[in-house]
Amino acid sequence: MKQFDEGLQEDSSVNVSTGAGRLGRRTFLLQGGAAAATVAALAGLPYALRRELTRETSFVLFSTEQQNVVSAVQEHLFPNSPNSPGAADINAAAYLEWAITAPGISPDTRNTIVNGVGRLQDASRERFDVTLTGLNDGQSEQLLRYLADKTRWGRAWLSLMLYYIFEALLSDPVYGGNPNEIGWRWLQHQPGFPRPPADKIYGKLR
Amino acid sequence: MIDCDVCVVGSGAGGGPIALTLAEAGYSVVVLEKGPWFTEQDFFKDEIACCRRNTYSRNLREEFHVVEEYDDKKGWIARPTYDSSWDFWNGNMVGGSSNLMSGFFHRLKPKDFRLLSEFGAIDGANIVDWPISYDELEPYYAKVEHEVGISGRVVNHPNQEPRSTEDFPFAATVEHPVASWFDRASERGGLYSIPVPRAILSRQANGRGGCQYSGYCGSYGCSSGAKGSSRAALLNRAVASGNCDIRANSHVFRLDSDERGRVVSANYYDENGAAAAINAELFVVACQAVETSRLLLLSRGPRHPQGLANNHGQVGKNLLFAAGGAGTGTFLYDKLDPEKAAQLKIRGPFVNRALQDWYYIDDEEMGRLKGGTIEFLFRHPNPIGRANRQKWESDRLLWGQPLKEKLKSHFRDAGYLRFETFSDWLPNDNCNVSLDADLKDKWDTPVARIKIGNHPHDLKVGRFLARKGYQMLKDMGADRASWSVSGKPPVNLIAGGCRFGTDPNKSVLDPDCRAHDVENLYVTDGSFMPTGGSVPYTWTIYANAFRVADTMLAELGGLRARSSLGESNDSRLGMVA
Repeated sequence: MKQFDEGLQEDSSVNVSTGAGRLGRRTFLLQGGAAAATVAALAGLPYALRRELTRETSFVLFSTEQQNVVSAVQEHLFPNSPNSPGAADINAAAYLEWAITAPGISPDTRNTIVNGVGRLQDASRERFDVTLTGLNDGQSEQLLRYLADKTRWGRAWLSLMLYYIFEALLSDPVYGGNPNEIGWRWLQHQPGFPRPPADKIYGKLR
Repeated sequence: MIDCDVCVVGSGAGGGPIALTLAEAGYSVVVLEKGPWFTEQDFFKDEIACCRRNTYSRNLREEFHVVEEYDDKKGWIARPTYDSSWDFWNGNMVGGSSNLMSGFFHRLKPKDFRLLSEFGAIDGANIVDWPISYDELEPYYAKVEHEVGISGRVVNHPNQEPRSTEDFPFAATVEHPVASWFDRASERGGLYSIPVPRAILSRQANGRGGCQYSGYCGSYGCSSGAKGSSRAALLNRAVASGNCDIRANSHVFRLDSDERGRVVSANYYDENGAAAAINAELFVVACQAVETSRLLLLSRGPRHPQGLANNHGQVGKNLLFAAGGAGTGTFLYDKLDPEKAAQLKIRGPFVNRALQDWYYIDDEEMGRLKGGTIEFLFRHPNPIGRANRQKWESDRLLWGQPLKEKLKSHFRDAGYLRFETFSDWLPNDNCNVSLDADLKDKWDTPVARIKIGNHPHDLKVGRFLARKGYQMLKDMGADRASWSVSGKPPVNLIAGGCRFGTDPNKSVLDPDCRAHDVENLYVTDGSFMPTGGSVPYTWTIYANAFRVADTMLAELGGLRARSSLGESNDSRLGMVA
């Protein structure tokens, strides 16, 4: 099989099309300092311990306001419907938090995600005088569509947010997303075998 | 003091045959591998670990490449891969990238060894004939069928290469019902449907399990041992001989050479990051094309001021990838009769079909030229990668219900058959490996700078073949089909950089793959290939490495009574009767 894809490991669209990884450095320092410290503290912990910590405290990466924004955006991007799971059904928010605090994640990717939350809030205040969680569905759509179509950082950020939704939807449930194989069942996807046991997942293989 | 008879740097398809042959003959072998030692107990069908993170490659912030590409507006642009995420590590672990291959195994054909003589020169391409013939390599192709384990079924077709044995030692793997669709379409079109040989055991043998048909193969490590990786097929046996020591997590950063120009030691960082060295009589470098050239260029010595084996400035030149294109056919379930739809939904068995009707092209418009292979396979089932490609509608991000509808339709409403074409990546002056002048890896060592220039001829041939592949998908009944050809290289199909030949001014290695100006240094990965042929490289790399192993065996004095590593200091080269 030929491997043509650039950026197979993460989301090629981010770096290839926008170079967004380099955009957010200053913003990150201004807005994400506390988050960065949390990320650094979590990054070295074993998976099980980190999961335990994050489960107990719900989120430790984002502030409560940021958590709410992340969840709202994910639900907007991937809404629940009668016959298909939405972002909350696939644990998308908790999965994202795990994914961007896991060892080996690119700081650029992590910064892009974290910075994006702050930038989105700024953009929301600028256009509507309220933060994203105060917008109605139409306003959210209007704002996100504007950011995706008209701004490089917005396009990169939303692309990455979608990417991690897909990971939460379709990775093995051992990682915390796709509970009870809900994503696989919805898309009638047949997983391969053998499936990974908890002690042989990414980060534990060496 | 000599630590071992032979030190092999790299444990993939180029290193495994050397280690096995020499260890089984009684010589002490140390294999240095920069990656970890995974086994069947570590391989799972886990897209996150396999394919979305760097479990099998390096952290690109610590170890990376600089890739130089041509932009029509800006000229040559260099970009480090930590910036682009374009990962050129193909599998850093014991057994190398052969752990992750799909195992589509084709031999080169006799004319591939004489590309210049058969098809003539092309302006801007450094085409040469090989210094050996197909006949010289044929016994080793046959040997690989047994040693690595190739399953398949020989059929007569006009481009079938000569064989010294009648058929493959292992029956073909189980074929998907779609293979019969392919056969019928081929017959209708007057084409020869070729069952693709696979480096996959169809039954348990040699301590390895047979294929379990999980439907996930390429890019994944094999949990049954059926895939013929250098590790599963060769290195486990080399270790069992008692004469082979594999040192995983050992990153070689320089080969030291003496006043005579001979290599005396391989310097490496061990699993704890401490510097260490191995002294040996013979050295083999097989780190895959880019890193092999890089290591030689990094290894300056008194007789090799420009890098080992580089006194004629040839190391790193004429890097090769596999040229060609790809295409996809969409087969909508509701347009098929129920029986065929049910067939298409079966997961596990392989399509295992290829066309080589245009391996040589004699076309009214194109003239007579070298063509290639069209390989047919299912779209890779990795769902995250597939889903991620659905988020774009032209250049616009999709989300919400439109995205969900698209995902649902993509996954539930159709099956997808793909083709990939393989043709020569013509060697040229703009495709090579050098040391980057500025950037260094975490070991403070200059990284490889990979310049990627393709020849326009490659795209011409690629387009020709891709159109044929596209037509085949349509003839099989695809509702929609598409094809594309790109000058971007597939990073997992890489060779050249240390081409072999008879002229030291134009090649790095002699016909035995020994460096022209380093008498105890061999290169046995795909670096030796002066041209690549129109098939994946792995079978040829295996075969050539077995050929070189025999040469080294003869040099070492032939078979010797079993020795152990502990005795190696007393039984070194030159003391062998």
